[in-house]
Amino acid sequence: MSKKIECHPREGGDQLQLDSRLRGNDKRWVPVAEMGSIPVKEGRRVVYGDWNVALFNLGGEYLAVDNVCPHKAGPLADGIVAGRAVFCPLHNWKISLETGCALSGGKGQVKKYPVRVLGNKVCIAFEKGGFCGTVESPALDAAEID
Amino acid sequence: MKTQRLVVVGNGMAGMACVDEILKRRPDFRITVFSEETFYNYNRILLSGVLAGEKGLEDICINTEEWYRKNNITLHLGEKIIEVDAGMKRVTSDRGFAFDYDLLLLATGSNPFIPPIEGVRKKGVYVFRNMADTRQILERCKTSKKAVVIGGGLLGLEAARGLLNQGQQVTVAHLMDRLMEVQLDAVGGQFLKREIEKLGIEVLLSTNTEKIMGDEWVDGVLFKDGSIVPADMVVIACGIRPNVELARKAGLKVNRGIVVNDHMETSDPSIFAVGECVEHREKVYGLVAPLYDQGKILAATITGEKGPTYEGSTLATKLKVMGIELFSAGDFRAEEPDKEVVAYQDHAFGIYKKVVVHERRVVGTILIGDASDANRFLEMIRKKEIVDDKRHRVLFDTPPTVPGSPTDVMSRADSDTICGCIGVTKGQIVTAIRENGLKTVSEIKACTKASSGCGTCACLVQDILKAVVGVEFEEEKKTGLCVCVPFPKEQLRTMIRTQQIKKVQDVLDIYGNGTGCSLCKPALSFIVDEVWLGEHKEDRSARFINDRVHANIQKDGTFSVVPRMRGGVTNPKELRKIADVAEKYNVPMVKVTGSQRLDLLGVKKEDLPKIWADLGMTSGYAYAKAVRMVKSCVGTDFCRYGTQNSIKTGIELETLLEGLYTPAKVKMGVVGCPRNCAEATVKDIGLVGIEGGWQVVIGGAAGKIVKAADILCTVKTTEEALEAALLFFQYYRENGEYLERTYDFVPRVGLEKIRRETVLASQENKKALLDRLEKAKKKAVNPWAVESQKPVHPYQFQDFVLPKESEALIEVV
Repeated sequence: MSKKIECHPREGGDQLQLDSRLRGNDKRWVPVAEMGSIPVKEGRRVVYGDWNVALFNLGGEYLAVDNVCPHKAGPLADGIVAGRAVFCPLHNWKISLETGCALSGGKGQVKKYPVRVLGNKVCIAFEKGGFCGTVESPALDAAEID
Repeated sequence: MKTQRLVVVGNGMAGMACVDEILKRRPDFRITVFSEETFYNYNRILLSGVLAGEKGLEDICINTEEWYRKNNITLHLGEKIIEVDAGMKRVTSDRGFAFDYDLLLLATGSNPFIPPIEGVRKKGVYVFRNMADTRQILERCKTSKKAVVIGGGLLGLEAARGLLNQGQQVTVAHLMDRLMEVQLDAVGGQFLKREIEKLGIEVLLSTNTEKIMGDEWVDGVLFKDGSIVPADMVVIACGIRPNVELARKAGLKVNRGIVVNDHMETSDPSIFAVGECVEHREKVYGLVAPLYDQGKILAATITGEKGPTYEGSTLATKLKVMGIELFSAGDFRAEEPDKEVVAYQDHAFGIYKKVVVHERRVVGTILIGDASDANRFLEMIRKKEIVDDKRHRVLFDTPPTVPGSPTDVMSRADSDTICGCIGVTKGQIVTAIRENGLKTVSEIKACTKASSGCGTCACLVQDILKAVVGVEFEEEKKTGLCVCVPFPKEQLRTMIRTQQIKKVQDVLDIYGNGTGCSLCKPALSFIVDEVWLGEHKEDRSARFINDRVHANIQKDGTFSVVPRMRGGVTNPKELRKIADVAEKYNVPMVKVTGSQRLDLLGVKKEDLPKIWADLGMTSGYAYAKAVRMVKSCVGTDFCRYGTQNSIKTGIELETLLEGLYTPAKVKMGVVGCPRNCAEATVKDIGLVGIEGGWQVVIGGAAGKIVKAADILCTVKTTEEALEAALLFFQYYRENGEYLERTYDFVPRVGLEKIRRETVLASQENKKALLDRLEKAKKKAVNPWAVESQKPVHPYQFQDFVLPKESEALIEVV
């Protein structure tokens, strides 16, 4: 699995030194998008293997959560961003981008993914594990998402 | 007693409030008022709201021309009294006219104090005292970028906030070591400074102004420490001085102000004085509440009912700066050792609460960050209530059952003051509601004047109203857009226009909670669009996904595409294209809609631009708060019952209005006869053909509710019918609340009013409506045509689908 590839320099010009082995809590950062390719206060869907993640640009800061609303699996990436939360475009549930928790609509939580910017790439550490919260509303069917 | 001739010098808040009280006692007084300003009586306190763009100049008028007429008051606007002959009982104006009086009331107010700084006469240097000043400052803001406010008191800070709203970069230079030193202690000053700086205003303390620099126009301010701040304008707010010039001429006893006794009498038995120009027990007041207190006493004295005395007022100040809560009252300093301080500080939240207790009573308070207890403390101070039993929780009170609930305010005594500015008690408000059957806060305001001062008590007034009238309570018709932006749409439009705000986020930052929600962001987008009509860069992140990609999102995240088919008419060429596209992109479903359109369902987002390019048809807007469609029946072209050409008229109507956004979706129908095959009578706008003419109907619905449309008018020609439809359409665009369908709009506004302001309006007004519609129509672009060639953003339709796991993987320590 481990393979050393070249990464973009950080501001300062240093070449980022990459270790060839993962240690302890190290994360595997996958570059998913160029900086600036997502308009400010908008989200985009990121598909990577089995992952379907919504990546948001909050103005230089990027946050990622599962792109599947705990209510009826709506595509959160297409929602309206308000502050540090997104409103699902289907039935207006409000999901915190900081915790993944539903703030209004009903109870539930989506998984949150670590994001960082390396060079001019936005990178996500895709981690295994599905939802970490309970859903108290009509059953969700994640397979519905295309 | 013969009719008394009362001459009033000064048309300000104090003078007219006093006249109001006098009229209650003696409506037969012959009153003449002289005003140096050229406006009717207005609420000077709210000028800071005008500067901040929250209110228009017309919103702050207290008494209109009608009030003067109704009360037989002769008003001389723009005429200044320059001489008083107390012996002859005669005043002379700057126009050279002389007027005799029996009683003279001086309500000359105060003048702004202008410190002796070099360069204060330069252009671009203003004081902030009256309507004319406000206008000049607003005018200057159009070209200015950087403003310096000299003076960090109440008025200076309100001015600074206003200038910030007008797009200025603002610096406040204050002589003292803390802001608002008259109303705050040192700790409060620090809390306030932080809050002010958070707004983006630079604060310089202990700063002495040396010189205002520049040639003809100001270009900077030089301070005593040698530093220079560039400035396109300077606003001086260094306090006020009582205007006592006339009183001196009249030979009255004058110290700092015109000296009055507890009956508000001056040293001349025929001359009285009220307001900021007055000195009572060696105190001069510059706030509004004491002026009203004085006016009531003076009214009794001057009408020969001398008795009540003025004992001085408890000073209470609220800072009217949006985003900052600040209240200060009474003796808050506690400098003497026998005064005890109860205080609470939360630096992270910016909350500071202080109460000063003296001889078992609350005598003063400062509240910053949370002023919700202001009235409670003010009552304690005014009543000199002994607080022993609640001393241990005096800062926080017993929590009411539900904070802010109607029972909360109803648990207060009838004698409690609700409106501190005008001095209206809870009992008076309750009586007024019961006796006059009042149902709204505005009605209470008109009847009792409660909440007509600074307006901060409006919530309490509303709570009382709710508790008294119960279920009959009516919300004010102009409610706020959303909890995030608590202003009515009309007011937001004005603020957006006057302050040149072109971004939704800026509206949220300045007037809202900074974040917004999925309701107000699209609503604000609509308002900003409506105001600027394309003269701005659209903030697409504030729009619903449908409007960002011009298609309708479905339950599985795919989209539906509905091409425009005007009047529901298509042809083989279009059908062939639609069929080809459906096959090429594997569209799972093609469906005939209820709107006489074809819907391609289940389209992937990334295929949208390609599909539009292949179709070469325009967008049907089936996804937007916009003109949806005009349905039509076959009419005279084919139908044996048709009386009017409904197809041609339907296509024409759709062509005239397509591409325009509306407060909520607008569905239309045109039918050739009353058999109503295309269901025009349950549409937002319908044209129903009848023998020899058309009926134009509005406000119908066949959705969640079903409602037959109302007849707007009956006309003879198709041109007239189309014009009526267009008039109503634009009227609704301009007056409808966001998301308010016509079937709610028509009953809210009233059919008669709508008729009067559309089809029965003057030719001039009709033309104005149609002109605005035409202007908007010219700016309307077909998103599919433009964007199929070039997306607004390279990633407008783009998702990030990454290659297989191993190829993209990197590791970072």
